Amino acid sequence: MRFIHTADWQIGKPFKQFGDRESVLRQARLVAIENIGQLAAKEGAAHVLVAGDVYDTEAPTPRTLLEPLERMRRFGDVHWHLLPGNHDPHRPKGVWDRVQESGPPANVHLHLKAEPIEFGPGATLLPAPLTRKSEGGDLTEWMDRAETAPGTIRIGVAHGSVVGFGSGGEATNPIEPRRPALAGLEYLALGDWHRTIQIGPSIWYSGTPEPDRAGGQEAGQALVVEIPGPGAPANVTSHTVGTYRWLTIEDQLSDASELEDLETRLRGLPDLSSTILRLWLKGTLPLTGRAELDRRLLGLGAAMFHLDVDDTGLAIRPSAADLELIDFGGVLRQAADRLKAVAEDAAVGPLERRRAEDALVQLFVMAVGTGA
Amino acid sequence: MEINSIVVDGVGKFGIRSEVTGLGSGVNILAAGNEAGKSTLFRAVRACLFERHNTKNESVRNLATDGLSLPITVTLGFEHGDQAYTITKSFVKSPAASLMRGGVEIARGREADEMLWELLGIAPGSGRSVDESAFGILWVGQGQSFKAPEPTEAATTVLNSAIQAEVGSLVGGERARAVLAALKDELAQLVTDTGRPKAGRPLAEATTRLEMLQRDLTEGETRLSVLDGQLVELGSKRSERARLGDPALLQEMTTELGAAQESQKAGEGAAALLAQFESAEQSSKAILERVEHQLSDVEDRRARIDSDRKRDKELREALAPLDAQEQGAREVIRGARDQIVELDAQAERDEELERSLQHLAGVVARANARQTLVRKRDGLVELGERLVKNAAALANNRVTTAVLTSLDDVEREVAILTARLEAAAPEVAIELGTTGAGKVSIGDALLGGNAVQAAIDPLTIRVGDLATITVTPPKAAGAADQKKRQDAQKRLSKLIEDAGVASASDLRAARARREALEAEALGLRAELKMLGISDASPALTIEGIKTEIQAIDAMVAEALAQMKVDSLPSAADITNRQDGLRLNREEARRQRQALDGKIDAQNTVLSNVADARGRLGGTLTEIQNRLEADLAVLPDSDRLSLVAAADKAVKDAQGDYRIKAAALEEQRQKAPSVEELERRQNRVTRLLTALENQKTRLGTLDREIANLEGQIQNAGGDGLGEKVEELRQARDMTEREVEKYKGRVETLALLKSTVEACYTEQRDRLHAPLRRHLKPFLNDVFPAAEIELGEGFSIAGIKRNGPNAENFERLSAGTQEQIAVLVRLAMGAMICERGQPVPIILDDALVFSDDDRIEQMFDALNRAGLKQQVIVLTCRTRAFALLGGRQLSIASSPG
Repeated sequence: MRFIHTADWQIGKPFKQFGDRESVLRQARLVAIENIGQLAAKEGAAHVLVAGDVYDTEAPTPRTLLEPLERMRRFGDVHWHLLPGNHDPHRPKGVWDRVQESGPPANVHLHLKAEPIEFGPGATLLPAPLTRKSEGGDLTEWMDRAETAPGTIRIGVAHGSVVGFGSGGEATNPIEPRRPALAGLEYLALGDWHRTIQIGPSIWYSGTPEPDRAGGQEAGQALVVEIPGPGAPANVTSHTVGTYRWLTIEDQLSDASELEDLETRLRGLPDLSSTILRLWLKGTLPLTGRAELDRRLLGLGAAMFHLDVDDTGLAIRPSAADLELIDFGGVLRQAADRLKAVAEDAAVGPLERRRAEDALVQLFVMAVGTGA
Repeated sequence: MEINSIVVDGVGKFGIRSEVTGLGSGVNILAAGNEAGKSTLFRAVRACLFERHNTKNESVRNLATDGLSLPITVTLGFEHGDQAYTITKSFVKSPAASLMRGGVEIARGREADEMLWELLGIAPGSGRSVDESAFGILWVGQGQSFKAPEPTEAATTVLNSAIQAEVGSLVGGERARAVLAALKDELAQLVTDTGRPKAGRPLAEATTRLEMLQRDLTEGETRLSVLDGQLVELGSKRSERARLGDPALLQEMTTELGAAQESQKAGEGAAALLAQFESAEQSSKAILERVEHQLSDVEDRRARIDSDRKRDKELREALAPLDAQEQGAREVIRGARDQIVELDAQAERDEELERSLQHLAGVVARANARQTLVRKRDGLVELGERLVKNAAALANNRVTTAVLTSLDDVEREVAILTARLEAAAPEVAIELGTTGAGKVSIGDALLGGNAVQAAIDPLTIRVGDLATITVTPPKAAGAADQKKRQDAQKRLSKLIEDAGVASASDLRAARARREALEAEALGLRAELKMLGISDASPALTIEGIKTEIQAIDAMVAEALAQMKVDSLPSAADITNRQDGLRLNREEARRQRQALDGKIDAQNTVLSNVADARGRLGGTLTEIQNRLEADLAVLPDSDRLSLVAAADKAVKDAQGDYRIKAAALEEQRQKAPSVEELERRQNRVTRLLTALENQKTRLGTLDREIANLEGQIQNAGGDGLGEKVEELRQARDMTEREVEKYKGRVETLALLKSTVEACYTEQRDRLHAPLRRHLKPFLNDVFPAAEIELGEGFSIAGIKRNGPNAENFERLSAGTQEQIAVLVRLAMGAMICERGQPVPIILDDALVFSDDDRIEQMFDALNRAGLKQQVIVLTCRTRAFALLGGRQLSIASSPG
C-alpha cells in the first residue's frame, strides 16, 4: 500500500505584504498540487491523503473554491482524499457542501463523516473530519471502536494538535498520541503543523507543500508512505514539492568590517531568487557602517524574492570618525553630540533612545550625504 | 569716517553751488522746513559715496535740477583713518570723479570710485548700486526709520566681523540652516505645522487608507461572524430536526398516550360512584343534625321558662321603695332654693349702693384737681403774652443775617473801589505855612495842619479869600471804577434805608437786637414744648383748661344736689363705706355656696333613683316578653308530649346515618385518590402537548433551516472569508506603514528640535555683543527692557513688563521706530568699536514719537554722538530744538 500524505494547502491565503507579487505566491500553492500529483505518479501512489485545511477559509471565492479541484482533475489516475480542517471545517451549507454542489471531479473524495471508507484494496480509511474550528474532544477516539474486516490495513487521518506535543498546531483540537496503538492503525496521517515531523512510529505531520510564513518549514514537503501489509510498520520518505524557501537568519554585528562577510554568506544561499528571507540583525554599528549596511541590503533585497530586515536589535554607536564627518564643531556637531548622549543614556526609555539613534542616522545622512 | 563738508551744485533745488555748513563730530542737526532740500542732500551724499560717477541710474538722474542743463556735482569732505579726504563726483553731464587726500588728488574717474569704496570697506558690485555694508544699516532714509534693520548679506558680514573679534563665529550655521530647511521640507511633506497629518500627503493618505481598511475589515468580520453563527445554528437545527423526526420516538409517545388515557378513564368512573355515596352520606348527616337541634331547642326553652318566672318576682320586690326616696329629696331642694332668692335680692341692693359710692369718689377726685388746673391756666396766659410781645418786636426789626452780609459786601466793594480810585487819582498834598492854619480848607473842611488827599472827585481847595483851587481827576482815568463806586454807594444807602436805620452802625446795632429777640423766641418755643403744646400759641390749651374747670364745677353742684348736702364727703369716708359693702358681699357668697351644695346632693339622690327604676323596669319588661313567647311555643299543657317526640326523631336519624357512612367508607377504599386522578389527567395532557409541540417544532425547524440555508448560500458564495483575510493583512500592513511614517515624523521632529536648540544657543551667544551695545541706548528710552533678536540680527520682540516678550510687529508705529533706531545705534556703536566708525544719518526720523519719548531718544542719539558722527535731517524744527548738537545750515553762493 503506497500513498501520498500531505496537508495544510490553505488555498486562497493572501500575501498582501508582498504587494504586486502576491499572486505569485498564491499561484505557487496551486503549483504545489501539481507537484504532488506528479510525485504520486512518479512513486506509483494511487491515493493522495490531504489531512485537512485544503482551503484557507470557510468562505472562499468561487474561483478559489474550484482552482484546486481543477488541478486535481488533471491527475485522473490519482484519488485525492480531502479532509476538512480547522480552517475549513465541514458545516452544513459550508465550503464542503459548496464543493459537493459544484460537482467535483470523480477522483476527488470528500471525507465529511467519521465512518470507515475503503481506501484501495485491503485498506480502510478512518477519517476524523472537523465540523467546527475548535473541538474540545479528541475526534480520533471513534477509530478505537471502528470495525473493519480482519486483515485490513487501517489508516487514520485527522487534523489537530497531538496532546503533549506542543503548541505548534493552529487549532486546539486534541489528538491522543497513542491513537495508532489504541485503534490498531498502521498509520495516522495528521495535518495542522506546518512542518514535516514524526510524532511516533506511525504518526506523522506531513507539513505544508508550500510554506506561508517565516520561522516554520523552509521548503514545502509531502510524504510518500509505504505500508507493506497489515501490522507492518509504515515506511515514510519526505519529498520537496514547494517552490519558495522561507528562511529566518539571525546575525550579530559589531563592526562594519563584518558586513562584507554577511553579504557573502547571504549571496551564497541556494535559489536566491526563490528565497524569502527574514533577516534579524542584532549588535551595534557605527554610523558609517549603518549607511553601508543599508546600501548592501538594498542590493541583497533585489537579488532575493523578498528580504525582510528586522533591525530593532541593532543599535547605532557613532564613532569619533562618524561625528567628525558630521562636523568638528559648531551647531551640527553639538546636535550630534546631544543625540548620541540620549541614545546611549541607560536612564532614558528604549523608544526615546531609538528615536535619538534614528535622528542621529538622519543627521549623518543629511550632513554627510552618503546615505543609502 | 566723519563727514566734515557737503557741497552740491545742480542738485534738486540747489541749482547753484550750495554748502552745508557746521558739520563736525558728535550730533549734527539740519532742521529746515519741508521742501528745503534735506532729503535731496541725503540722496546726493549717498550717490557720491556709493554710485559710480558714470552711472545712468534713474535715481541719480532724478537728482538733477529741473530746467537746468548742468552736471550734478557733489563734493564731500571727510576724515578717515586720521587722514582728510575730499571726493568730488559729477554725474550725468560730463561725468567725473576725483579723490583727494590732504589736498592732493590721489585717484580720478573709475579709480576714484573704487578707491573710495575700498576706503569705506565696501565690496563694489559690477554696474549696480553699492549701497551696502554698514552704511546700509546706519543711513536711514526718509520713511525708513520705523522699519527694523534688515542687514543685507554684506552688512551681516560687517556685523559678524565685529562680533567675531569678541566671541568668535557661528560655526556651521549655514549648514545647520540648510539641514533645518531640508528637515522642514520633509516634515512639511508629512505633517502640518501643528503636527497633524497633511492632507494629500503620504501619512494622511495612509491614515485615511487605514481607517477605511479598518472599517471594511470590521464590517467583513461582522458579516463573517454572522455567517459563522448561521453555520453553527444550521448544524444545531439540523441535529434537532433529525432527533425530533425519529419515527420510533413518535410511536413510543403515541403508545404511552393511549395507556395514559385508559388509566384516566377508569379512575374517573370510580370517582363518580364515590361522589354519589358522598352525597347520600351528607344528606343523612344533615337530617341527623337538624333533629338533634330541634331536641336541644325544646329542652332549652323549658329551662328558660322556669328561670324567667323566678326572676320576675325578684324584680318587682326591688322596685317598691324607690318612690319614697324621690319625694324626700325633692322637698329638701325646694327649701334651699327659697333661701337663695332672698340672698340674691340683698346682693342687688348692695351693688346699687356701691355704684353710687364709686361715682361720688370720682366727683371728689375731680374737685381736688381743680386747683392745679387753675394754676396751669394762669401760667399759660402769662406765657402767651410774652410770645405776642416777642413776635411784635421781631416783626419791627428786619435786619437779618443776609442784610448784614450784603452790607459787609457793599462796604468792602466801596472800599476796594475807593482804594483803586485813590491809587489812580492825583494826590493833593497841602503843607501849611506858619500862618496858614485855619485859612485853608479842602471841600468844606478847614485844615488845621498839613493834609494829603487823593482827588477822586473834583476837589476844591480854598485858601482864604485868596484863591479857590479845583483839582479834577482825568475823566478817562478810573471812569469805570468811579461809576461802580457810585453804584455801590447807592446800594449801600438803599440797604440802610430798607432796614429803617440811619447809618451802617445803626444797622449793625439793630442786627444785635434782633439776634437777642431770636434767642428769646427760641426760649419761649422751648417752654411751650415742655408744657406739651405744639402750636405756636397756647390760646387753645387755655380755653380747654377753662372748659374743664367749668365741667368740674357743674359736676360738684349736681352731686351736692343729689346728696342734699352743702359739701362733699371726704375720700376716706367714702372708702370706709365701700369696705363695709365688700364684707357683706363676701358673707352672702359663702351662704350661697352652702345652699348650692345641698341642692347638688339631693339631685344626685334623684338621679340614682331614676337609674334604678329604669334598669329594673327594663329587665322586667324583657323577661315578661320572652316568657310570653316561650309559652306560646311550649305551653305548660303540651310540655311532656313535645319533648318525647323530639327525642324519638333524633334516635331514628342516627341509625340511618350510620348505614350511609359505612357504605361511603367502603367505596373510598376502592376509588383512586384525587391526587392520583389529577396525576393521570396531567400525564395525558402532557403527552398530548408533547406530541403537538413536536409537530409544531418540526414545522418551525423546517422553515428555519430553509431560511438559514438561503442566508448562508447568499453570504458564503462571495468569498467573504478570503476577503476578510485579505483585508486583515492589508490593515496590518497599512498599520505598519502609518507607524513607519509616524516614527519618521518623530525622528525628523526630534532632529529638528535638537538642531534648532543648538542653533539658538549659538546664535544667542553671538548676539551677546550687540545686546551689550544696545543696553545703554535701550536704557535711555526703555529702562530695564530687553530686546529679543532673531535670525540675521532681526528684531523679534521686546520684554518690558514681565517675562513675556511683546511681538515687534504688534508694537505701535512710534515704538517700532524708536526700537529700530536704537538697534541701528547699537550696531553703529559695535562697528565703531571695531575701528570702523560710520556716520549715522537719520532723515526725517522719529516722526511718531511723543514729546517725552523724543527727549529720551535725543539722549540716546547724543550717547551715540559721543563716539561717532550722527547727522539728523528734520523738518520738525521745534520738536528737535532740544536735541542739542551742531546746528547745520545750507549756504548758497554763485559759482
